[in-house]
Amino acid sequence: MDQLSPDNVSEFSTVNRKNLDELVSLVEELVINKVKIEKMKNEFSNSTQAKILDQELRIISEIQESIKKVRLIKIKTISKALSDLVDQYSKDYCIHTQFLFNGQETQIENSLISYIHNLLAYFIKDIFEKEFVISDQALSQISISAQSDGKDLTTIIESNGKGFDAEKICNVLNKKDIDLLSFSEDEVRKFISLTSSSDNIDYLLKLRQDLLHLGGSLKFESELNTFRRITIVIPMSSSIMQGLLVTIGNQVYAIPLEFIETILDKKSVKIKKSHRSQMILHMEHVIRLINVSDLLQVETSEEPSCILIVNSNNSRAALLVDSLLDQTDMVIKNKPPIIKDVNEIKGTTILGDGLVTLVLDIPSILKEI
Amino acid sequence: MQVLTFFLGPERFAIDIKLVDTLENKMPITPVPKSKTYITGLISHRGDVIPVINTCLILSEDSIDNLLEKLIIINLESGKIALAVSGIDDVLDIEEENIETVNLNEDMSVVNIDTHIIPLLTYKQLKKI
Repeated sequence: MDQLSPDNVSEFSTVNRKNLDELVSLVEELVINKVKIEKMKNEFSNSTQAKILDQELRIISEIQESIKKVRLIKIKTISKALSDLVDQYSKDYCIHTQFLFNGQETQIENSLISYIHNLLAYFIKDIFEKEFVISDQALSQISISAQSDGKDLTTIIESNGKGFDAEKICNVLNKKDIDLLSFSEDEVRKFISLTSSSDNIDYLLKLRQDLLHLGGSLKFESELNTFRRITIVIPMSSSIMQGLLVTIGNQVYAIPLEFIETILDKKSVKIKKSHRSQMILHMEHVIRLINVSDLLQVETSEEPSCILIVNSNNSRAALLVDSLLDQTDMVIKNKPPIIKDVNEIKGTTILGDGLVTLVLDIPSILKEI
Repeated sequence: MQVLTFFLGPERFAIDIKLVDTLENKMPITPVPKSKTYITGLISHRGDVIPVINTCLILSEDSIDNLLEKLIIINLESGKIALAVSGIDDVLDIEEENIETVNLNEDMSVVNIDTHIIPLLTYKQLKKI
């Protein structure tokens, strides 16, 4: 019998998902404590104690980084299920189909895998029902490709078939391109009716809503009777992230750092009024200025002093906040179901002082303004 | 059955002890803008984030100032909630026959304790939150 050499031992071991989730939540608590330890460290005059705490902080940071990697899963986990789905539909619709899946080694966060599977399964079904209708087509093709740049996961699902005249549709809808996330719900319905590309519109709207919360994009490109390409971009955010703490209306809020482009002093910026809204000029761009206390309908006694330029999915705004406090590691918890209708809030985080801090949902705010 | 009696201002109310998880002293609350009026805010409780409910408003009573003295943490299917009350009174054993259901606008029950009629907060009312 061959001896097991390191090469033929699998590089993976199986871990129970529940155990992994428990481990992750323990690390999340550790991160909450990290903020407390950082505060404590500054109070110690004794250098030995400060050194020990420094070491603890470094270890926590390393565990935090490792756990991020542990949570990653290869996208090939879902390739078998999708390929089986294509085989099944090929049989059902009697269409010989070539299925390609590139970039299966791409890694994404565990929690996103079932969402991506549902999204791709939806479009595969849609392709068989609506795209592959030309009978004299030589070979029906569906290709999926996935790639990640560490920040965003880009998945493209392309098919040859009926397609639509994208330029004409853009003109009718008065849009530059077709990104369902930049459309209103009515516009999505209109787009679907114009291209007759889906029967199950409510399910598509649900998937779109979820993608909206994740801050992604869903773009359609097509040429009539040639091809249709759908590009899905999902930000790879983790529940542990960096946030900027700001005060708005005498209360502290957190803003995920990934959405912040620049921070400006209000005094250094010229604010112009136009059409009942306020604008600023920044790097030769005109950006709409939003007073966050007005948006949240909270009263403030302080004069707002800071402007944050935020960006998500190429949509930009300048947010006016009362003041800046600190930058911190934070663990975002889902908002309790009872406040799920408050779209401006993404979730909550517990900071070192034990207080619940609300995390602003920047993609959702940019969408609503 | 056992009930926990509590105060909202001078008025006494009761709740089935089986619904109660823990009792807590008042603690800092984070208000949530644009949320429903009966939500006072959020607290952190043993690692969980729990909404605090203005108990007066769900019992259709006038809101009172010193409401936030004590918190009764309740276990519901949808998660935990904290009822803000002005004081905790006692835990009492009551006979089932002393509970009467009054059909007003909602499914309101009352208990008769030593000839005092006390409204009983039921699971049905809490589930509506």
